[in-house]
Amino acid sequence: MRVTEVALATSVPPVLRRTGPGGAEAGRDWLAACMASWPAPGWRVLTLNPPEEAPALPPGIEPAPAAPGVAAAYGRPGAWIADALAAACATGAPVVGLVNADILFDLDAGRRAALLDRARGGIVACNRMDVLHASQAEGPFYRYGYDLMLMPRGVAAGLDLTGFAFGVPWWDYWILLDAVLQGVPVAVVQCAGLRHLAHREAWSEPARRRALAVLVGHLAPRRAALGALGLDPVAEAAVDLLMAATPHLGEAYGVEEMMSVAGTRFGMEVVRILERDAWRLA
Amino acid sequence: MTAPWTRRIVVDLLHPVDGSGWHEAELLPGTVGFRWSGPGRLSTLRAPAPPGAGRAEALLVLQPGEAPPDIAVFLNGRPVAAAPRRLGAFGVLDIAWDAAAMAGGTLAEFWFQPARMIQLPAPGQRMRSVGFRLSTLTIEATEDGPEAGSEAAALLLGRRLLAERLPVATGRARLVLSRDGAEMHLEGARLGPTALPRLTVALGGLDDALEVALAPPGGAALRVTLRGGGGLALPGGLSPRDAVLLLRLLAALPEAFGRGVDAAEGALPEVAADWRRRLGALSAAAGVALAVALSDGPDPLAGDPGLGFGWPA
Repeated sequence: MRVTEVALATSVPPVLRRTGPGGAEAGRDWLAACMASWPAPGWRVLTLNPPEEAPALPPGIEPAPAAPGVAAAYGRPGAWIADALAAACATGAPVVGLVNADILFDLDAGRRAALLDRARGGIVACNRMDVLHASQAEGPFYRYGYDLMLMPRGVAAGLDLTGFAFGVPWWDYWILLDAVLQGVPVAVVQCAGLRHLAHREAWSEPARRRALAVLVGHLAPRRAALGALGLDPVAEAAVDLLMAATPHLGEAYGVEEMMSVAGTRFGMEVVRILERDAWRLA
Repeated sequence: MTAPWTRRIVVDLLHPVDGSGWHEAELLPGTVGFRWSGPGRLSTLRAPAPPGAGRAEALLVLQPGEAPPDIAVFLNGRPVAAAPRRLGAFGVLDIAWDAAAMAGGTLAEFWFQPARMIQLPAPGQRMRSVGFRLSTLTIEATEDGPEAGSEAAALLLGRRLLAERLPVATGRARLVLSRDGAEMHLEGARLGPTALPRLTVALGGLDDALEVALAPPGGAALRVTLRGGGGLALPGGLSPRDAVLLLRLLAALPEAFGRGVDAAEGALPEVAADWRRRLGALSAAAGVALAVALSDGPDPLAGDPGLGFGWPA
């Protein structure tokens, strides 16, 4: 029996809606293609879902129960990121990872080996390539999100991801920021083998702000350590604004707008810092 | 590390830039950041780069349906290869150079010179001169690359003079095709200082000759003939400047025709291909005539630059 080299965790939605060419509904086929593309020899894939979701799964995707609470926190059911990463770690695979459920892999054995090789030494954070239909082989990369992450199991075990959920932003930023603050190497990777059917943002602004508040809560005790990363002065000020404003979310005029703008500005800075170690995988 | 990895250096125009000729950073929904080039025609950008041969991708933000702009690129003072293409909603300028262009250094200074500047309002503010919207510049090392050019000053000045003193535009093209003839209806064309809101380009003639008639609504036609042997006959009575303007427009017709074909529904492919081939021959002949005129003809820049195109009565 082949040893599991990589354990990937995700949360497959029961229904995916996407617009294909000519406006046709393409979500079901796209999701099926995504799920079929993930497993490979040595790569094990888990999906965490609450009982009310129960997506139809093809062979090779292992279901696992998701702990409750995501719907209460973010307004729709799903799975906690921390639970997903813990489930991946529990497989005993030396490299574990997270992938968003709408990412299609076009990863041959060479690409998988290269990703695995690099992920043994640190976190590999991959941007997605946006396409308009399944057969499109080239498209622009989305630099402000990391839809596939791979890392050594030991690194994953040292991350605190409490409060983040699939389908809501910021968890990817916090994983990478937390890792960088711990001195873990992070490589930002663009590979044409990670495709995403372009769509409008699916998350709500309140959910985005709540997730941002979670990030700020994690970041606050480490505020002093941020200085070593070389943030620009505006980003430094944005962090301080976020820390001051977050406890008052929903209490006073302008707080939500300030958080949105400061969060966006801080996120841009995180991307800039991470792209100091940027790579392309052929 | 395994071979398929290539290190990337990313310059994001949302952040402060080391260079000049850029307006303030802007952000579109979906976290697409960019800066307009301008207000001057030349924009510069300095970035770390590998010491040898390399390539770069300049990611350009485009409007829906907008063609990637014509931009000349220079690296460390030398013209370098720059090919535009579309990538989804974006445009990409593929830039490449050989090791000599970096001269062993690790700081690359790029110059960008767009062919066209326009006036647009800044968000909620004054009008300003802008060229193109640059989102990111990504730089990678390569094993080899095309040799960088020389005579940057000639290229910079030539492009400026063409843009300011001899501007030509074909505008938007709509086609009416048949086996016996074709019509291109151009909207927003330009011949020097003369704007042509509508211009009809009628194509006809037998296989061994192409006859072209260009006419604004209700106006007399300019008639051009390309004979089988390659001889190009322009209408008489054109000033040296107007002859150069007409040749530049003729040279640009295949590209306009191609855009028209892209937009046309139900165009007969073999008919369109035939007219495009014949326009290609016309463009090549116009290119030669233009080279001769610019090299050895009367000075096309002499005279009043504000004088309109001398359309026949």
